[in-house]
Amino acid sequence: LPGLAAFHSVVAMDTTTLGLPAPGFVASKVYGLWSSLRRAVAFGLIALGAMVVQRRKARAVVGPLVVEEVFRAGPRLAPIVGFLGAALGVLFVGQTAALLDSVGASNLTGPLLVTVVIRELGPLVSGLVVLARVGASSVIELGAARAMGEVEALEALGIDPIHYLVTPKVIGFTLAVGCLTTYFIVIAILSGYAFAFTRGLPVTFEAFVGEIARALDWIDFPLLMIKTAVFGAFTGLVVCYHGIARPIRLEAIGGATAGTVATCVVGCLLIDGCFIPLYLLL
Amino acid sequence: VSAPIVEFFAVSVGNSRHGAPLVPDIDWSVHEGDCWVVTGSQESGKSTLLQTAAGLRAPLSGQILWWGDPAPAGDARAVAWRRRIGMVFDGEGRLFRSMSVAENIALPLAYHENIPLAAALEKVKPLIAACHLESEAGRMPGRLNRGAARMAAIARAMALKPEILFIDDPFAGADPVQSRICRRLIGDLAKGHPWFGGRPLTLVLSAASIRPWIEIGRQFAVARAAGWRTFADPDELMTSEDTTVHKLFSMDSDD
Repeated sequence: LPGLAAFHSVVAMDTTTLGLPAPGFVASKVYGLWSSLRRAVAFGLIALGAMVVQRRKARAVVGPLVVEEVFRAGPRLAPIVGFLGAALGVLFVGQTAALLDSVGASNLTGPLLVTVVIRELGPLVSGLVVLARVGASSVIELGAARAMGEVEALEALGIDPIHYLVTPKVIGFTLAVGCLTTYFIVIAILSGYAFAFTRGLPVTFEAFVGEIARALDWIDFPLLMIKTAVFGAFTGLVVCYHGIARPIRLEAIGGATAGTVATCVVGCLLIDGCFIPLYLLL
Repeated sequence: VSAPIVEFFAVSVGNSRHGAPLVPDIDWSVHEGDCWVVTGSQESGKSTLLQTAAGLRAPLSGQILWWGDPAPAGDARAVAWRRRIGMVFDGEGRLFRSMSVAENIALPLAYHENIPLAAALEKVKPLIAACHLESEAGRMPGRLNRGAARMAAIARAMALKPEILFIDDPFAGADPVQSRICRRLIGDLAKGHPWFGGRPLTLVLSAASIRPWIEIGRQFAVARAAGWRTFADPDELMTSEDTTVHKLFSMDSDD
């Protein structure tokens, strides 16, 4: 059982010092950033390890929690993601298709939409919606549970807080971002075509979809799955890290929530950047 | 003499490694069937001591053994070990606020036996009845008064049938009726409760007042920065010349 004991070691890292002389402002900031990064990475690895090692444990209890998180971060966000997909379809897909057609470059419609909507905006928008609508509230929930001593109560009952609280959120967010991304892409393309059609685009729906299908490579599908999974898991881990990894007071939960949103936005953009060489090489 | 469950060897407990210990140099052993009442003034370190004895906090110094061994770490034995120790926290017992009282009580059973929560709820019905929580079972913890919340926390700790139960300040915030129910339950636990198959449960309680526990407690201890002191039976406590004990008794009389 790695989580229960490892959880303490992550918390204990807060109190470790290097025993060096008092650093200057820049050095202390750099060391602070390094410590935070080290703690976060350690927490992430412990949580992922606990998910693997304890995958068969208490499934009757953890399974429904996973389903609940998937529903909370997935179907319940379908309206807002559908709205964003439709808006993007009208604002970008429809106008781009019409514009490219008017300059005689309709052969670029497929590659452009695949690059912008399927590879980039789909996963990013879905990940950010999950973060904003569910991630932020989850930090508050977990932070309150930590501040009110519920995490210690779980430990006292022999329930690994990482297994019980973190695993459902990470799995739920991972699956939900993947599903929402697919939904977002479909809505964006359909509404985009509908908008372009109303503007008099002389392309059939089959030809429009055919353009996109031709621009898609087989590698797009596994990479899209991996990217959405990484976005979801990263968001879930950051949310749980800020919520329960360290002792927190009730008045500090607001700051932790803001920190979570900032970390996730920057982190998702950096992760997104890591995929660009893969798309270019493959 | 029965086998020791918890043994303290020169243990100091406190909240911070950088500050002075709240209770220094504790040599203490809790044996099977004991019913210890740890008393002391406010902020004397009773809660910290109980959490340390329950293995939820590391001591500042010294060694603690449970059933003759240090706390296991990092494997399934740690979970099995943890299930043998029950802990009821102070305040409102740290119930899970997103669950009803009944779900709070059923959760540990559902988790460790890998059964659905609904099945565990059926199993804990006798426990809910034994703790007089039938009318509160469907309520959320935020809607309970403090005394009922503490009874629910005791029931939750009993759900796994631990071998030793630590209860931090059982009467905190309870009205006289709830205090009487709680005292009767703890008395039954010490003598042998049907939920535990009639086996007397080893208990360690912390209490700011001594008097309510004279009839139930079998051993007593005073936690204080000046030094840990134990009393083998109620008579020794009652006849003690210890100034802290006198002070605590006189405070009870004032109340």
